Parts: sequence; C-alpha cells; structure tokens
Amino acid sequence: MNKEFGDLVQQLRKAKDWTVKDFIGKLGAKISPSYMTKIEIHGEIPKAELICKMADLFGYDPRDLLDKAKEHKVSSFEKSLEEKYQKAVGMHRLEKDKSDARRK
Amino acid sequence: MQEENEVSDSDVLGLARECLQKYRDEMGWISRAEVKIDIMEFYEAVIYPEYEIRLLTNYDLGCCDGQKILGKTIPNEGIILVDKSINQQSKDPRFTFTLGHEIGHAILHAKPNTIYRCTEDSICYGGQNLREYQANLFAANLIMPAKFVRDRYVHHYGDGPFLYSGPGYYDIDQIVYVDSFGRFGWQLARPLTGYFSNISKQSLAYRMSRLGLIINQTAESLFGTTKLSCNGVIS
Repeated sequence: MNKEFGDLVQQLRKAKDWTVKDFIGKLGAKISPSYMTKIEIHGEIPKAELICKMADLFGYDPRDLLDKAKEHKVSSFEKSLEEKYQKAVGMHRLEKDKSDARRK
Repeated sequence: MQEENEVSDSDVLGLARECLQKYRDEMGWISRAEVKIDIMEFYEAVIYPEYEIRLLTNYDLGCCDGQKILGKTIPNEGIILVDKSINQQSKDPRFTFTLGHEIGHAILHAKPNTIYRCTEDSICYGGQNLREYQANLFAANLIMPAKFVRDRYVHHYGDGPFLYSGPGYYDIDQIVYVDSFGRFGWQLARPLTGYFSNISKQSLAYRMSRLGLIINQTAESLFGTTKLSCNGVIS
C-alpha cells in the first residue's frame, strides 16, 4: 500500500513535536483519533480542505501537500485497477481451461 | 510469576482495563449491549494515537525453530508486524489475537534492544516465558474481557454454568447432540461470537471455560488431541 502521504503527514507532525492528539486539537476540525490513524498509517486521503488546514499548521506549501495526496490517490487507484485486471485475467483463464477440459 | 523489574499480572490486567475504557470512551458506547470489540478499530482509536506504534501487515516474517512467525514487535522503534498470511483481509481469527498479543509486548515490555518474535506456540500457549504469558494475558483480557464475556453469557443463557458430562443431548438454545467437550464449547460460544470481531468459537469457548461458565466433568480436553489454536489464557 502506498502510504507516502501518511508518512509525510506523520513526519511533519513529529517535526513539530506534536502527538496525534495535539495535532487533532490544533486542527480544530472534528476528527477522531481513528481517522488520524487511518490517514497516517492506512493510506486514507482526507478532503482537500483538511489537507490545506494541515499544511497551514505545518507551515508547508498547501499545493505541495495536495499534489502529494493526489499522487498517492492516483497511484493507489492504478494499483487497484491492475489488481482487478490480473484477477479478471486469472478467472478468464480458469474458465477457459474448464471449458477446454469439458470439450475433451 | 514475577521477576525483578517486570510488570505484575495485576499491572497487566489493569492496563488491559484502562485500554478498554479508552476504547469505550472513543467509540462513545454507553451500555454493554452496544459494545463490539474490534482489534483493528482498537488499534486505530487507542494504540496509535496514544503510543504511536506503527502496524505493518504486508511482510512475510519467516520462521523460527520450524514454526511460522505470526507476529513481531520492536518496542524501541515502535513497530508491530503481523505476518501477511494472517492479515486483516484474510479474516483469519489468528490476526485478532496476534495483534492483541503484540500490542501487549509493545506497551508492557519496552526493553532496549529487544525484539519479540512470536509463533503460534508462543501466542497460544505462552509456556514458561513470563513475557509471552503476560502478552497472552493482556490480549485475552483485551479481546475477551471477563466482565463482558460473563455479561453476554448471562444475557443469552441466564445465570449458572453449563455442565458437560460426556457425549449426549444438551439443551443449548435447542436440543442438540454433542459428541465431545470441544463441540459442546463450540455450540455454546457460537451465538456469542457476534459480540466480538473476528475471533474463533474455540477461543471464546476456551475463555468461557477458564471463567467457569462451562464446566467439564470429564477428562476430555476442549481441543481433543489435536494441537489447535486456543488464543486464550487463564485470567
């Protein structure tokens, strides 16, 4: 799983010496600790508005952070598409083998 | 079992209770009926925000002494790894207990330059190793807390334990024939596993047995002669 966005958020947060709970408090938005874990660890991409808020707090360029999020989302989507394609190919081959075996 | 500078069993139980309370507060549960313990949810809501322990599940952890390593904890680096063969997507009940066990190591046993590599044997049976035993104790009390298990048992079956006296017909919600103590425990655990996320009926039966909710009046083992995952310990 591509977790670069989450890794970057974690890195920026730690550079400020903030705990997860500190960061949630500073964001001022109603974010649960679980959701922050999903962002930093499980590759969840939050809405653009929240990303911009994070960038402001970190003193980071919001465009760069948004680009990172977009890059991550595109890469995850492409990977998921590839996995589905490979699965479909595998199933097609299986069905074809079964059909060939029946004809024999 | 207490060694110098080690945490005590009551410390372990206290920490499990404290973690559960935090989980309950985060989830906003008011009554026991609302509770459904999910180890991944617990990790996301409590463990990572509180301890910043990273969880990695996409690695093959290899083997140790001929046994597959299911979990690994590096407390100094704040990392827990669960083998990819039993990751959350596989819905393997061993994921639940392995993660609970490794969380136990991470927050109880943070000694410098120590890595914990846990196989099915150490996670299930603990053995004579104090830290493995304590990690199991923590996991069992986290995943299947005694009060909650008893509460759900009483809610479903009423007061009083079930007695197993050998193969035969038993009234468990309906009249069923059971041919072993293992099957008896499985039948009793079945309607209650819905209150927990991704645990085996066997592990819940074992827990109920240790809590005195199922009493065995025979010499049969809950697991027969086969070495199966128990994922439960004495509380």
